[in-house]
Amino acid sequence: MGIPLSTIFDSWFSKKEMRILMVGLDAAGKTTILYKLKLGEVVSSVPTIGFNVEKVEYKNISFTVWDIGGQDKLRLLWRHYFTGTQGIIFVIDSSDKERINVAKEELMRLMGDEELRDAALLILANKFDISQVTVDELISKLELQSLRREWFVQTTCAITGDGLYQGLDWLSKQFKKRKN
Amino acid sequence: MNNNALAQIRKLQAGENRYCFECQTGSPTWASLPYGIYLCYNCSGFHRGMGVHLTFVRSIEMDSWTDKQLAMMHLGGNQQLRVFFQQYGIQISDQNKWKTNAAHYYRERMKALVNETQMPEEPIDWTALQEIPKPQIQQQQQQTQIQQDITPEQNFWEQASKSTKEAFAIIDEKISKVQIKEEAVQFGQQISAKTKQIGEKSTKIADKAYKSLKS
Repeated sequence: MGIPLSTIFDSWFSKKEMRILMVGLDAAGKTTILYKLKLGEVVSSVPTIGFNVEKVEYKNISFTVWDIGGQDKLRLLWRHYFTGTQGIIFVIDSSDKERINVAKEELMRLMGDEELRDAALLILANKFDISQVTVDELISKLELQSLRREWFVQTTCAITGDGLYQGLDWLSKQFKKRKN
Repeated sequence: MNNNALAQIRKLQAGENRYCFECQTGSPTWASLPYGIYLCYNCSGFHRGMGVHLTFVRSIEMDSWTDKQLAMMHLGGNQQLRVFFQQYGIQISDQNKWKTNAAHYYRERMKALVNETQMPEEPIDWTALQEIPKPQIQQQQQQTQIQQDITPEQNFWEQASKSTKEAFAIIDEKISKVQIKEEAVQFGQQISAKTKQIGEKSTKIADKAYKSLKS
């Protein structure tokens, strides 16, 4: 016989898992985003030393989100979390004009890694409500046009939750596209 | 990180710099650069939440430091900032102190000293909260980049769907502005009046019932 019925059934109803790596410079808002998605509330966070990991269920997909500390020295540890990553959430502090260049460098380093070659890239332009930039400016400053992969910029405000689920929407679409 | 930086900062951590500026916890390992002050782990979290326009936090041990950042630590210090705040009648315990004109002046002065640029003008009212410029740009919709070149047909359909959406949006807006808004307001007022009446009635009934029960 062809495909067992249960496989079809599973593909319709079972939860799919997507492994997401959330990185970005320190104080970009990664942990606040993670817990806003998980708990729906703003936890007052302290700098992440190490990582946080949570499962977030959305649109029949179970996102396992790894939130990794962003301090200079901790960025060297990011690569240990790369294996099996299907989506990257790169969080930037849109209001931090002075460090947009540092963010770009870190992003480019990530994008150059062989293990992340197939991962979809979602950029969350966090703290956008208090920023003075436009999305176009961010795109050009981060040199996203040079990337040879699918990417998407979503403006967010982690405190209110604005934009977070739109970001997950895009990731889930990418995920479904890749599965087919 | 640059070990020399760590050694330099450790050397600076004497006197009041041995304690967190905010809560006096000992051996702080974080710093706020615009003021050159030292913070404990918990207070560093609070500072990070304020935004980079007010304070910029670095870890003494887990971040690398540039020469300019080190210069900020050399220039600043807990005692210096405390004396400055007290001089202008700003309470150290006040969480809003970072938003005052005084704090703004202090940041600008530190920046000017490090960059060797012109010193800022002194504010008229030191204790007043600084006016934060409102973002000039409205919240934008997300944008995406499609890597393949868009074919003319795609372009046509995109344009068509875009203009249809726009047209609908305009119609929606007009409808909502004119009729529905008025109707909704009236309806809302009626409902609230009714609810009020019912509420009053039920309170009276409850009161009566309570009294009768009591007697």
